[in-house]
Amino acid sequence: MIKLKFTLNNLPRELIVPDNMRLLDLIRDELNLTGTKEGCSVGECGACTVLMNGKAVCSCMILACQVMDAELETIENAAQDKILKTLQDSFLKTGAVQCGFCTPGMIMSAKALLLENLQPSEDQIKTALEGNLCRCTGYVQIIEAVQLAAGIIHKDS
Amino acid sequence: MKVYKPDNLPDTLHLLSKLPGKKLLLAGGSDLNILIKQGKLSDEAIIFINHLPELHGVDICSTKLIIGATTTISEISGSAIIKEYCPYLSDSLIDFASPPIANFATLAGNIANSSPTADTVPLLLVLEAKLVLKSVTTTRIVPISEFYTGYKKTVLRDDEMIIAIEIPLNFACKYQPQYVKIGSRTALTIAKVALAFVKYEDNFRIAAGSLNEFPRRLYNVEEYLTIHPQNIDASELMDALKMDVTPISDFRSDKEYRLQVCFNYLQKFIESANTD
Repeated sequence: MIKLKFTLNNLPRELIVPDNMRLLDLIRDELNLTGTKEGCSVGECGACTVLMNGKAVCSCMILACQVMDAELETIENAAQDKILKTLQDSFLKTGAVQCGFCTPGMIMSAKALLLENLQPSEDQIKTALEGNLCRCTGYVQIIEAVQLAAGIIHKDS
Repeated sequence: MKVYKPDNLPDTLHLLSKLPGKKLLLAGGSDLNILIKQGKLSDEAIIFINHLPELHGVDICSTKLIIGATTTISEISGSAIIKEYCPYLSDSLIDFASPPIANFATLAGNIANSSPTADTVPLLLVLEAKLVLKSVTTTRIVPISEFYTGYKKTVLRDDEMIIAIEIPLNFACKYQPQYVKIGSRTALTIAKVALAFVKYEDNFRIAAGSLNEFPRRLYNVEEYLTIHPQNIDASELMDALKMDVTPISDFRSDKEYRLQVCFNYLQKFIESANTD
């Protein structure tokens, strides 16, 4: 067991977890935040993407004990965070959500991109989202959603 | 499985030397954590190193670039030093996995994991990169071409770890290696074939991944091209290539495809180098 200290969606957290627990299981099973999804479990689908210190990471490939002192952010932070909320609205507006399973991971990867670049090109969006698979939309609407959100946030900033 | 989180490098080396049984170092964990989840590791001691600042970062001195063992793929591809002195290395890492993996996977981990398809190794082979291997009592510098001895086998001793990767600057700055990775798709793919190629003066350095038990230099091809700089005979070149590679058929590709694609890119790179 290991005693962990980190912040999750801006709130400090402390808990004791098994050595071999994945970050994904910590988020879903210990903290009951089920917005983060488990797809392939081997880093190929991106459904489990969360932000760790502002960078997108696959939470299925990281152990909980690797996040000591880190700042974590999950899709649930869309309730407070302007970038996540704008992305969420843009995904709905452009029809980028069908079954919705990939959407939390897509939005977290998109936020990581927008934290670094508020005027991304289409290619930069494709690269940022290359680790996130969507089997419904064909990606066109998802790319449009990120462009729309980037435009709104850039205008407001 | 028992987990250790040493406070510094000396403590890490001490653990490596004193702990009995199999020990695995975990920096990013993009390979190891999946094995842990799948229950494939049981008795191994896992030693965390990603929190050790002395193993982290990209540095430069007059003769070489030094990449610390816990530096992530994203940090290397985004490093101003790498972009200035090795821009092609930075570009090649864009094809490594996807951002949510490259953000915590490390270069040293890709090397130490010893996959035949390790994406980063062919380019490091043509740059004649060196690995700094350290134990409590020894430090040795091993050329990456001498690191692998067989499938998933390396010269790394049980009490040693890779602490840094060194890239000699004089060659890296002067020549621009070409690199290609062929997979089933462009992004987030495992290579069927990877090829790194550079011509310098009248010589060549060429290395391939996914075509042998470990990524390796194609010395017979290099020698053939040095002896026949102009009139290259395609069948003789293919014969030389066949002496260097032993492709296999598996669920990812078949051996004929791998050999032919490697040969095609080899010809393309030679043509491009000869017209420069």
